[in-house]
Amino acid sequence: MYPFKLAVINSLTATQKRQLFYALRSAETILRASDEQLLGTGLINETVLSRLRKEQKERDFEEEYNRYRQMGYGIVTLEDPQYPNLLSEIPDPPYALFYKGTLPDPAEKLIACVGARRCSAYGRTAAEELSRYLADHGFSIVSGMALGIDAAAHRGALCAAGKTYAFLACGLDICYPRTNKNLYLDIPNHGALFSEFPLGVEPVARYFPSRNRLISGISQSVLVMEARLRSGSLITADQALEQGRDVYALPGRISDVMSEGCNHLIAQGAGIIQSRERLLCDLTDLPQTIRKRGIDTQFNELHLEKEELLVYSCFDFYAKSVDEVQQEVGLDFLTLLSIILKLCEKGYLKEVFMNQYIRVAQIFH
Amino acid sequence: MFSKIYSATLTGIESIVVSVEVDVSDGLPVFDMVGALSLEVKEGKERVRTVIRSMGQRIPARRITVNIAPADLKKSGTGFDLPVALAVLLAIGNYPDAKLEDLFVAGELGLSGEVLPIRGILPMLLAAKEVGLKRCLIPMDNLSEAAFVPGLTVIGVRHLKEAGAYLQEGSIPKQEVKRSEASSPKRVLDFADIHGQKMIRRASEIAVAGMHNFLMYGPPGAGKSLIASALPTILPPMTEQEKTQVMKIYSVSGKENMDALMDGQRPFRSPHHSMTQIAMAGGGVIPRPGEITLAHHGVLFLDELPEYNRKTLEILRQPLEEGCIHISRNKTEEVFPADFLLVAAMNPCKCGYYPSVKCHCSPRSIGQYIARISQPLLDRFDLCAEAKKVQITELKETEKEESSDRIRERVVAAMEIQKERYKGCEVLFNSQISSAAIEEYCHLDTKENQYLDRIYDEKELTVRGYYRILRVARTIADLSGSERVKLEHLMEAVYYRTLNRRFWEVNEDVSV
Repeated sequence: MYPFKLAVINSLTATQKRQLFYALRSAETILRASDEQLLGTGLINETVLSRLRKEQKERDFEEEYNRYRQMGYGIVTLEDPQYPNLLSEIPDPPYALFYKGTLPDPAEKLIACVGARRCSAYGRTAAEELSRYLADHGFSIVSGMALGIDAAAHRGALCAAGKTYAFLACGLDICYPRTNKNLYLDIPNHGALFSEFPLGVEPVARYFPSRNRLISGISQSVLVMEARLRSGSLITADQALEQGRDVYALPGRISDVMSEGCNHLIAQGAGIIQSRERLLCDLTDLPQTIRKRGIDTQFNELHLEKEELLVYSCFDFYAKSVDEVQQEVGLDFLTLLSIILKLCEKGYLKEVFMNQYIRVAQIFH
Repeated sequence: MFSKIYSATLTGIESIVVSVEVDVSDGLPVFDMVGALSLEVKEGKERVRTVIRSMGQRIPARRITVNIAPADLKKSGTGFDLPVALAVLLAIGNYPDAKLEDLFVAGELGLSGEVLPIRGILPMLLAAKEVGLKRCLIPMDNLSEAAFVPGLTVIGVRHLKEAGAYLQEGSIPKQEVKRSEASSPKRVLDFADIHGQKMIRRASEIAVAGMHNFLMYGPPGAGKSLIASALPTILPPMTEQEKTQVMKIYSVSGKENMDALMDGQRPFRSPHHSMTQIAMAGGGVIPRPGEITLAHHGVLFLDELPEYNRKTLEILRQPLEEGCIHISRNKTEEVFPADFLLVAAMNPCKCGYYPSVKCHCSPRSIGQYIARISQPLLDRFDLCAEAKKVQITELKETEKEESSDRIRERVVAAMEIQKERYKGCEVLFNSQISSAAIEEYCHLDTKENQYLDRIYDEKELTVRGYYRILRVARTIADLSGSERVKLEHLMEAVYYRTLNRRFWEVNEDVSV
């Protein structure tokens, strides 16, 4: 009961809770300590103290605790042995984590997969394929349930019937973003939703960086799929490095804005994701056995006619319009339209906006 | 003494001939005006009295009664000043030689006796001709409108004295037709001046040829408004009948820029998005035409479509179906014609760059932006095309693009085909084919049918969307002179199909 109380109390900040815990070693001692004792730690002043006392007196923690239990929310604190080991080692672990689902096993290997919310089909497909592959090989995927890369990573893990953990920047009773409702409902059955915030806390911009440090904190390595040069994903990568985690980045073309961040990370010395197998070797510290395979072979395997291949090669992982492609290939407009229709039917292209298409293709072979 | 002069009042864009009767009899000195008159007509009494006095005439201290018949018709407008003044002058013994049986008079008076222009002269003249009146006395400044009513002797006057002189001696003042200043040859944008934009050019041609409502979307500065303003140049000129109707509307609303219309150019209206519902639909205590009526037989261009008030846009739905608008007010109900080609332009999102990487809108705001236009309205755009930013190489191309006249030739030819095909039906253009008749006019072969079935699933078309594609394909076939709707026509129609809202809803694929 005392850990729960300390976790939901509003009058103390997260930092104060953690520092008090380090000073007094348990929630019980903190909450039963005399005024002098608390002030004696030098961590809080009298205003905070009086607010704390008032809250302790007026709030019905018992009732709240039962509500959490009934709704299936659990709590794990630094006092518990189940508290994720890696997370407790970062400089600023939260005193308590609320969760819904099952806590990761201490032996479980957690890999974070993060990236931009607005990503290209390249990054999204890569995130999904990699997560699925890693989940197949016994890793659990950690991410932030945001749109774009995050969602793709969770989906990949779920596809492989693996485990996945999502850290939210709001109370666990709020599904943000709402479009990820499916993930929000699915993840607790195949892992857990985590949050350092009590129920009812709305997502606010400044909570997101704080949430990001937990994603890298709980994982042994961080994979960055796509990120712009100045983006939250790069901040996560920096935090991960500070926490001593390995960072891997998916390389992209130098002309792609969405890959600038990743390429920058690689230049800074981050691991490069060259193939699934190589990444797996890196993550498991196995000796590397790299399969040789020519990239050029991929187009020939598509079984396309000459003109279809020409058109297909003009499209890309970001949306391109029909008239743009027409200028490139110089085909008759109507011929082009019928080829595109064929490619769509064969599942090689997808219309993502009015008359704009992207390639649908596997990235890792 | 008694006198009677014919004049007219306006109802909507039509006019009804009324008679102004004046009786001067014994009794207490009173100047009275009766006959269901609105305020501005009644006020005319003071103007008439002052003007008559300033002409040196003495108004006798007798009972003067002015009646405008029929008495149950509400009369409004300022055109009664001149007929009332003349009738009073006649009743007190002036102009004994005047012949009034076939004379029509209308005009406003200033206090010095000058005759001022009024709104709606054209429908008045048409009404006068209808009832068999032969000679018309109207303000000189309105004389330009008289050209539309052949078979009438129309005399413009500048002063009450000139009117009196005409009545008495038949002397006609020097006639001067005033051309508005804008008539100096205004440089009209020609399609030859527009570089690049191949897709939009083609879409404009199709839209005009079948009178399909047309929506352009694209980033700011891509030339959407430019294309729209060039549209009138590829529309066929108005027929005489159409011209008369449009002129009537402009005459009633007192618009100045009638010279271009007189040359047969169709109206092009582009109201600003801050406009009110009444400005769009028409209205007021005495209903006046709104923008949709002013665009009758022409183009109504709405730039920045999502910025318009939602209710203002919803007004468009009924006129788009029926080609007219019913306006009911306290005592009157008017029907204004409103058969126009709706052309609209919009940015795809707030910042204008969706779905390119330049866009910095949140997914939510992107969804909200398109949601400002209701689905039923979106459904009324048969044709949609994206305007792309023009590449610098296209700008520098010295080769002139195809001129408006060449495009117009094809449009006119396609319209001729439609006229022939729809002879005897209510339908005039391909855009009006009902879904029941579509099988008859757009018959497809197996190959084409198979294609459409595939498209129907792949593009997640609605039933309405399906028919729209057929109608547009019909127009494309007409433009190419083909009797049958062929596969290539369908494919092009599919390319220009209506916007699919799905692409604006959370769409992970187009983030870049």
